[in-house]
Amino acid sequence: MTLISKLFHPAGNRKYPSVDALFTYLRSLINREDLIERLWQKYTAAASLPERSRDAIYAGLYSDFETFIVGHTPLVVKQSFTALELRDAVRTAISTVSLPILVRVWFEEGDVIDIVRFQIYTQEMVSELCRLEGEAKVLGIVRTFLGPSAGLRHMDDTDTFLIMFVRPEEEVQSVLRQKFHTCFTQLYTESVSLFGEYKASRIIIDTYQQLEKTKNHDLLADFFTYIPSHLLQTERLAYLSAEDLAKRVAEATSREIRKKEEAESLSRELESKIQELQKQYETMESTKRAMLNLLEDAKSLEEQLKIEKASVEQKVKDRTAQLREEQVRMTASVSSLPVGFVMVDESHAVLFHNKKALDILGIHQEIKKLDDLLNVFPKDSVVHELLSTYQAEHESKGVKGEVSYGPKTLMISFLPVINESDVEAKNLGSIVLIDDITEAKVLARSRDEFFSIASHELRTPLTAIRGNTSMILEYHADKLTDPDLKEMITDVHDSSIRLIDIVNDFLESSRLEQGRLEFKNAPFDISDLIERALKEYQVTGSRSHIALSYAQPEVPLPLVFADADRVRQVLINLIGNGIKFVEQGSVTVTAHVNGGQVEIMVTDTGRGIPIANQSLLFRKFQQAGDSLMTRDTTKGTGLGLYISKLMIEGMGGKIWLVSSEVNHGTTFAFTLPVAPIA
Amino acid sequence: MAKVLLIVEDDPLMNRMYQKIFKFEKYDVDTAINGQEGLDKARSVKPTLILLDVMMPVMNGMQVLEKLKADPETKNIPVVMLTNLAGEKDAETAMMKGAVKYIVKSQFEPKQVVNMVKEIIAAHSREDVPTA
Repeated sequence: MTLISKLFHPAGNRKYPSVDALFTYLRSLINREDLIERLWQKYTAAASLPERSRDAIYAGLYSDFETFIVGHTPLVVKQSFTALELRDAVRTAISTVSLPILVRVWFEEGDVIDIVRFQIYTQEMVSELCRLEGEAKVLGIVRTFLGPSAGLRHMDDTDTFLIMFVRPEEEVQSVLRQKFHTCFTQLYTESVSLFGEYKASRIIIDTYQQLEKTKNHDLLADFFTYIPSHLLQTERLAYLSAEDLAKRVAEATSREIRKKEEAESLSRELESKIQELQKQYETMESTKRAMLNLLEDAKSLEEQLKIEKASVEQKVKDRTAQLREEQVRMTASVSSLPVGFVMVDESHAVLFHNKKALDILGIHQEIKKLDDLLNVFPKDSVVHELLSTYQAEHESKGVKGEVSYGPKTLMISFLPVINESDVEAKNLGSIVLIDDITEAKVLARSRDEFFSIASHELRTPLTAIRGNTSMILEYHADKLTDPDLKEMITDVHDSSIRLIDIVNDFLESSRLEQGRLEFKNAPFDISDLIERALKEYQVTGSRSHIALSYAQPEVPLPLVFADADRVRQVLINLIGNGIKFVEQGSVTVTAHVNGGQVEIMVTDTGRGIPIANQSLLFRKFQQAGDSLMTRDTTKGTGLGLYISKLMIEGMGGKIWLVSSEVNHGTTFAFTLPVAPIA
Repeated sequence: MAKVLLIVEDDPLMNRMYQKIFKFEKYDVDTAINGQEGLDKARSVKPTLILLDVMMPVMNGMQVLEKLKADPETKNIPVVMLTNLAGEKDAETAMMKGAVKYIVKSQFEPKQVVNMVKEIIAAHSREDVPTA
């Protein structure tokens, strides 16, 4: 044992830096260092072992590391290796030649491996033989079989010897191996003859036990081919049946596992590929469907378009016909207008005109421009001013004015043609309307004159009747001794007054209707006006059995904003009506504020108005309750309420019948706006 | 000095009626039947008050009023416009031009017109006192 130990460790206790480098490198290939803790402890513990077994342990540890690294996936190790790949990597990473020979043999290849193995197998035997027979004898044997290039090396500071051999270039591998075998057999034979059968076989068994520790199965397997067949028979069998089998199974299993893993990863890859393809297929399908839909849509659109085109064509046809009809209608309308109609574009070129335009102006030449039309007027005519005014506003606002044209009076209007739907409201041109208002002017004038004349010519004789009868009664009463004569003169006088009233009412209503009556609105005290109106009746009223009163409100009324004279007229009319229809009783005026208005009520206890006739109040010439034939002509013209209504409304108020009951009385009310506080 | 009234009125009916009532009321009355005559008489007679109709031939009442008021000899004579034109505009115009009153003939009894004239003359006499 000590002998063998010496043989394998010529360097004694010295350190093996290359061994440290190897294991440090192996460790660096492993991510999960926790999993190799046990192996690493074993490695560090090996340093203190006897050197001989330490090298074997190192070799065995390499085997353990190799198994670990090759058997684990890249999560645990840095990358996946096969055993050969790992050995290659180690060869590249560190210097394997300086490793102990038992460890180094893991990394040798080709012919060199056979040489190294032979050295390992023979080391112990050669060392023993050298010690007992001398180096020369052993060298002789070795050279006999291996040739002159072979030698012996005495390892430093030890008594161990190693066979050195340089492989000749031409040597064939199998021949070389045969030479090693023969040499080994001769050396063993020499050992048996020198030490006896037992000791020689012990040397072989010792070597085997060391080799076993290295877990280098190839090395062991090869070793069994060298040794005599009767030695280590059980081990050889066990090795072949168990070790080798286990190793083979392990290798096969790991291969299978790898294959399975490969298959699995492949299948996963395949699956994802399939999924991808499935997805692509689905996308394709949906694209295809979309395309089909689009095609169908396009088809239906085309059909729709065809239908619509047909319908549009029909519409255009219809519309054209319609437009033509409209044009005809428009032309006819414009042609039949009672006014002259001239349409010009923006540059005042005449686009269209009706015959009436020429007729009114009494011209026969064609008018092509607006100027052709205007030049028929004198240079100082108002029409030129009108056009300037119109153009001053950029022809955007219509203007019109009366223009004298010879004996005629014309109303001439310039009106813009604007497309309202256009945002810019662009002016498309203008329309000139020429209306001959000569007749209308004459009529209006004659109407005005009629009223003046009526007022003057009717009133004057009536005033004479009234004045003269009045003077007869005043200054010649002593001569009217006959009561009938006096009554006749009185009737003539009263009739003249009534006629004057009727004429006045006619004139008033007509002026109100035409809006020719101006209201001079101003703030005034309505209470004061009511009192004065009542006083007028108390002074002039002959029927003293009718009580007239004004119920003053407790709070003074605000001033009203109206024409005091007109309000007085309305009050006189309403109070007068009350008096007229009351045989015996009272007429009462009240007033109060209602919102922004003052409301004045006139209540009488007269005979009342039947419901059927109430709606006729405030109408022209209406006297409630009477048909034309049964009118009570003593009661006036029937214009009183009508005039009152026009006046009150003209001042911004309202007038209405509040209530009326036959034989009980009537209440009228009107409102006037409260004057704004100054 | 008797108070002379000048009545300028083209309508004989009216002319006669107003002559009568003022004579009944003890006034001296002179008359003219058109505007021009009225203006001439106003200058020659220098009446206390002029009753002037508006609608008249030759020269209408408004024109006469203007001339009266433009002439220093006649501008202080009070002028009462008498008319049967009920136009308010006319009334306003007349007052602007210097008339003291505008009477719509049909609206008043002759006696009422006399009373109005009396009042105006009384007022004018009082005004005259300090300067007379």
